[in-house]
Amino acid sequence: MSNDRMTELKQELKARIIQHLNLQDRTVESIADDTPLFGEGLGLDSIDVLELIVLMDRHYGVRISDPQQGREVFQNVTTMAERILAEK
Amino acid sequence: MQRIPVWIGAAHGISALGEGIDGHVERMTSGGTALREWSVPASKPLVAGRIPADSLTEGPQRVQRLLDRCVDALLAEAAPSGAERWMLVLATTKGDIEALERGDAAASALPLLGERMRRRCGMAEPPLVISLACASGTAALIQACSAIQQGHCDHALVVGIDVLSRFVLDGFASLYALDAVPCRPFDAARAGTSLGEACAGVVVSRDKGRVPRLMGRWRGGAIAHDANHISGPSRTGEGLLRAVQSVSRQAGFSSADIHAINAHGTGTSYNDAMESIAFERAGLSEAPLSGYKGWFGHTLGAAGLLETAIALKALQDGVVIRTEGLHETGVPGRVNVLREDARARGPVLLKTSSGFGGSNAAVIIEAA
Amino acid sequence: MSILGTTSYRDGTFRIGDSRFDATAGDADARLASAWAALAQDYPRFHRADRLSRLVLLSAAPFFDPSGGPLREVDPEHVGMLLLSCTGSMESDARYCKLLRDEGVASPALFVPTLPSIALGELSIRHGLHGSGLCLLMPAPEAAALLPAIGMLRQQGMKWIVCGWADTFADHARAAFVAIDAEAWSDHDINRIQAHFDEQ
Repeated sequence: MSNDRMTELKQELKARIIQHLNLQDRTVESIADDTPLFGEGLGLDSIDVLELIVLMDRHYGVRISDPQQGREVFQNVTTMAERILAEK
Repeated sequence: MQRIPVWIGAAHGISALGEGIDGHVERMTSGGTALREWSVPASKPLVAGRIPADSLTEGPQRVQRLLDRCVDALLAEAAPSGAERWMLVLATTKGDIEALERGDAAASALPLLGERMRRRCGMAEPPLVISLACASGTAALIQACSAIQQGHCDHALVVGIDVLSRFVLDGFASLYALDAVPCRPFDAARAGTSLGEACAGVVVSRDKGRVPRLMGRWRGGAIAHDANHISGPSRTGEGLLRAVQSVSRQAGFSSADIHAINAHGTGTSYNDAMESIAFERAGLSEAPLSGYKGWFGHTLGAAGLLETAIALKALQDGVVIRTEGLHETGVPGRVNVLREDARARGPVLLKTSSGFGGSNAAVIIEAA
Repeated sequence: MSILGTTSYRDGTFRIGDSRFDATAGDADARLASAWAALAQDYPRFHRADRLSRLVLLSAAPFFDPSGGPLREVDPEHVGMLLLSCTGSMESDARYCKLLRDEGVASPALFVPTLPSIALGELSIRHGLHGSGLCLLMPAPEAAALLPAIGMLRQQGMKWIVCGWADTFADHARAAFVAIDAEAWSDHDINRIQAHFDEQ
């Protein structure tokens, strides 16, 4: 998998997260690849994890059946992208 | 403050367990759960508490006909007259959800179901339609009894209703809030709730002689908010603790005066944990506690009324009914959850309900 | 006089007492967002809330304004909330339903606000309110129907009440709110609330 594809995927994920979670005070540029999605960082919460699970399934066919496991996948945009590419 | 006494009775309820409150108590003290695998069209099979099919509860306008049926039963006993001051109260979270699923949002407006109830009751004034998530039924009872104490009316018919739908089933599933087996409130292995459907109601009145099948005397009710999270309950039980403390103050009761607790007990990890913490903080660790959702599921807006009526009737019979589905209690707060039916220690019931939005409601009623 | 303050919102026109803000551009969501921006609140969560909740958050915000809001210094333990609506959560219901029907996807974030009382939850979180509250559904804003509910909140020890009508579906978004001093309450004040509802 080329670095270009990885970079492209991360940018796409940032845009989707902003749109899907309605983060109107955020821009793609304001989210770094390693910005934590939870806590300080984007400040997402438990219901957002579930929403991200829907996003992963809907757009990338990645199924995460256990929300606890989701916490690892949803550390930041890089961990999300890695999970998507691992499924391909 | 001198409070006008308010009396509760003439209860009726229809759920997966059947029809009639006496019937519910009978089945719960002699049999097991009514939760079954149920295949909803276009959704995967899951466990739910569906009202047994018959000509009245199948087909179009199911919600309306279920409401009619419960209201008719209440009217037949209470026989309100035009010369009396009655108030109608209707509790629901989703009302005519089938209209919503058809794509007819306008027809699903909750006031329309209120209008249906008004016409069925032949009253001039529409009901107060109350929605407070899963605390709706308990909140409606509080509003009705409070209205009588304030002199807004002398008698009230309080009904709660919600039915099963793909809308709500898929919604709870998306929150990972449904157990794969019949729900197990307060159990160490609990993994979510089971949804059910019901219509249930009671008559409340300031006139003891006006209440058929008298069940109890109102001692107080309170509502409080967590102010914490929209879908998850407070980890420390803030709102529920406040509601329990407020209603205890109103009733002038200490924790030792509570003879039985009928909890919300959904079977989700967070709800049951929250409740156990709130009850321990309120000094209620010793009071016999049970949750009824393992019998007929979480009936949402009807839950508070159905469960209150059953718990009161059981107390009248001298019993505190067990928590169906419970094998081993596993919650962080110290509580006395009943795995087996127990002899009632006395007549005083504390009933609580909690819902999304962090709404909590608590009532104290003394069985008559 | 128990009415401490009033606000109203009608499809882009937001009034706080006698002052007025007009947001005329864009759809219902864009107008709500401009009215909110005019209040200069630092609360990003607003934009993530459902439409009914946003209408309620906007309507109640001036009451808690640190510079002059009538409820700015009250004890949040004793603030009650009453919400009247006809549509209730219909806007959220339709959004959740559409995604479920069109794509077979149940969105948890869209599902939770399919309850009108979620707006009370959002309001309680925003201002740390632990008090009592109810959501009442009725065809039109009838203040008289509030009387038993206001009495109930007073019975439960509420000293102040944030109370109002909020209704929204498709392009329509209207609200009319009052802040009440519950200890000074007299049932005659219900006429003032009805007059405020009628102005909309």
